[in-house]
Amino acid sequence: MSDNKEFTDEVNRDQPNWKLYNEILEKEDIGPFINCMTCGKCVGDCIAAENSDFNSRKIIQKILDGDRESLINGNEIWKCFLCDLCTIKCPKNIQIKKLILILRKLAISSGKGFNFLQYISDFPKSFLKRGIIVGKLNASLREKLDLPKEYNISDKALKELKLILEKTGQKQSIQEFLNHFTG
Amino acid sequence: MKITLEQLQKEKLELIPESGEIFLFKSCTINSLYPSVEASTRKCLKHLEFKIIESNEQTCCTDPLYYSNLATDLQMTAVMARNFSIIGKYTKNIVTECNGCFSTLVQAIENLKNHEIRQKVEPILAKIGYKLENNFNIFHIAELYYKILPKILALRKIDLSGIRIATHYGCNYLRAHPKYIITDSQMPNILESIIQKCDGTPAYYTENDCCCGAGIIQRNIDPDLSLEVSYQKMKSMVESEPELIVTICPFCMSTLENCQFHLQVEKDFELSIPVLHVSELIAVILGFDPLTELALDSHSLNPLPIFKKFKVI
Repeated sequence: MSDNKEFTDEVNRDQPNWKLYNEILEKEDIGPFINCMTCGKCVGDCIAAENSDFNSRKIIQKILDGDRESLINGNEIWKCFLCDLCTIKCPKNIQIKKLILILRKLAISSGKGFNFLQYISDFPKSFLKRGIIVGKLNASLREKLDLPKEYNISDKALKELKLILEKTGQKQSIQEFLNHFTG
Repeated sequence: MKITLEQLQKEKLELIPESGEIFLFKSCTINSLYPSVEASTRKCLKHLEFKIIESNEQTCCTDPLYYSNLATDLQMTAVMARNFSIIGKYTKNIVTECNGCFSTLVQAIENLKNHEIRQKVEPILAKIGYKLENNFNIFHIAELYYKILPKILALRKIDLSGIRIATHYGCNYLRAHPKYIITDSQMPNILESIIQKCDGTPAYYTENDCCCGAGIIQRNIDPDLSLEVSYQKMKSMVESEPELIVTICPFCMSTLENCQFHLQVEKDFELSIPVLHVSELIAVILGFDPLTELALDSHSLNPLPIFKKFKVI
């Protein structure tokens, strides 16, 4: 959603290392975050920065320094709450939340980050099996409230969903993710 | 010609229907974990002259997968496009009670405007016999209640006088798609208006913007960090001495409830402020019995004593 589609050299960046920068934009074109003017507004209200060493301004700097290893191997990018406070405040409309998600994607592709994601496996498991993400229903309470006993999707819907998940490769990537924990 | 954010908000507000058919996009969190919210929404919408259309063909919105890098934009959009094709048979007005669903629905609509994604999604839908549809109006149920506030006030049975209520909107509603909401991202007033018009008192606090601590999946990634953020929020909130908290997202609701127990144990921070979803508050305001009709006592922090104390029930 960035308006600043053209690169300008108004921002003073001495010899940025374009390799990681381009790798990120190739994954998803979130706009030229080279426009970052290091004002730090993103860090000022950041709840992760308030409570840890997470620093979005420094993360962008690391990208421009080509410091792929510390970003991908480290735990900093996993501390973001994806809350978009920074994105809203950024005077250059940099899509910081999306940037963090791309960095996480790169980390996962390099085999990192699984330790951080190990406790979310119930979500994809339930989704693959039932098309919805469910816990255990409180049957008696539902009955008391006149609600339908079950929360399910139809067999037809599940069949169609599974077909979509195969065609888009999502079934495969979720399986690969889950296999990582079962070995 | 540029359009201002305020104009966009006004235009969206005008699109919200005041009665009639509306598709309820079911939230996995609510439907599997919070029957009191589900019951409240159903009872409110029926009482407020809406006809709920729903479908057991509708799947999860995949929001938790999307933010865990387990759904790419294409994958999420393909799943949602199928949901849209089903919904499109009935109506173009979609209402949701959950911020995750809201932001994913809007993101999917946005993605379907992208030619590249549309080109890949269309043949996949065709294979299962569906045609692409993407002309929809997506509303959060809080926006709906705000639009029909005059009707709610005309039908209300309850006075919230004396009750101080803190509000929490949640990140996925306020900031994921600021051009798609009817209120200001940084100074929202939907809940405050509802509370004030029903004679309650909004309990303003500085950390209103602050995430509940869930951080979508941060509770699973780093529970300690998640609790620190909840602590940051709750410390600020208690300064305004609220009796209740109202929120518009079931996941925030769950986090704000649960964090209070953890904060007692880990930070010696005593607090027990009941948390309600806006549907539950509206249902109480409309006169539904909090115990027999809404089962609000099923919350881990029971709001009934507060309602009794202030002679609401």
